[in-house]
Amino acid sequence: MNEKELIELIKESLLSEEAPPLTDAEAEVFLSLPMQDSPVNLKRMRKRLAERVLIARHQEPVRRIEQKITFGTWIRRARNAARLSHDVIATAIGKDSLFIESVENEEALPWMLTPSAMAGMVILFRLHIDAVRQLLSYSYVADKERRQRFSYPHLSAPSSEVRAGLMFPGGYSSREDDEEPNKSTKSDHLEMDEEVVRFLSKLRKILERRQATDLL
Amino acid sequence: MNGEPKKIAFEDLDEPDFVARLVAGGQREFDIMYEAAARRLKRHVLRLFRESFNAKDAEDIVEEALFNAQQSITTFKPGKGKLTAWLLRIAVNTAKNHKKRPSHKKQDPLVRSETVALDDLPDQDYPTADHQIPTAPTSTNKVGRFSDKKTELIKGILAHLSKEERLARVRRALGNIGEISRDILLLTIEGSDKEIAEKLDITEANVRVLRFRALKEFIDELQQAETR
Repeated sequence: MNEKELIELIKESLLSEEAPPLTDAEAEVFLSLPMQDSPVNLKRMRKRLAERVLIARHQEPVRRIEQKITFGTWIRRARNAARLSHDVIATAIGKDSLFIESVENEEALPWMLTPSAMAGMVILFRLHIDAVRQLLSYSYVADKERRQRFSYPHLSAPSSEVRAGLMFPGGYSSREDDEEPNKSTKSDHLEMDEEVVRFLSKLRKILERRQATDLL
Repeated sequence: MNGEPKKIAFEDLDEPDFVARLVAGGQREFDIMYEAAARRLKRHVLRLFRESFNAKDAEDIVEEALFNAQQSITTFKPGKGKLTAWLLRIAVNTAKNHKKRPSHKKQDPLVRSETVALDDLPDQDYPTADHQIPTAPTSTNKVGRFSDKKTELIKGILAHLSKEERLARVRRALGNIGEISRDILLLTIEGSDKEIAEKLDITEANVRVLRFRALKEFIDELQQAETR
């Protein structure tokens, strides 16, 4: 056996498919070699990371939202649960991190987004259109109540208001995650206006075009 | 906070405060780690598995490895080893698993509708420099010869073992030789004589001498293990 063959033998014992894992000591020796870093397509890698993580969390699309929380709150909770930053989510859908923040804080109301951007988020987070409809309804009602409070500050919290089968005595969680929101029930009717309905219709068309059939 | 995450060198990832924040679930820290680790790990995967993977494959492997790291980051025990070593070990394991997959049918769990059209993302040109990686040493600069009798004996010993036994025997021998000898042999797998010389602050000629001695020690260890 010559030198090359012996080195190949050692290499096989470390790196072949059947070889046991490297030890820390062996890894540190490899790492000690001075070398330049390789260029990488970081955007592509981050995008794939976000997709992988979120697919791992939701193999099946989320079809129903159990708590009455706004779209932004749901996105924030899902992102935090997946331990993904604004930057990574933003890269995955081709936006910047400020966009993600404004969605989570509902500074940008969901139906004010472009349907394309919304489709990106929906696909990434594996949200079925039924769940999106729920979340948009909760966002709509929360926004309506906020606007009413602005207009009529002397009015109490909307606990006395009852809308066509829908009751939210405790209000909505939007930014305050320590509030425990109400649970949704199967009999809830989803309140929304024409604008939201139209938005959902456009969103559906985009999802069809992108062949996200498991979300429809 | 918005904007690109702060960049740090790969070596700085082992800084204890950073590791503590990362293991506690720091998203920003993970982004920083991701960028530093992606570039370095890709280089290592390309070098260690040069016969098996191209630049694109290496990037896919590193991406999967960093996903695995993200999923298990809270299990990393800072006192028990370096973060960078842990990351390299994950990358090497991931690369090994990729080698097991049939080359004609690599399963991509991400084959689904796109969140963003990929042509919105700039293509990464993979420069040919990625392929200019040092090759394994040849025998052109011979320092000395191994005894034919000994090497034939080793061949004979290893020939009648199963693959798993052979790997275990070689690995044990590697672990039993001196640390400097072991390091030289490991470095030879990945680096050129020039890089090894730079790391050890010796000449390339000395690298070849050290390697020859290390291999002799390794052969002797293999032989002695047989007689124990």
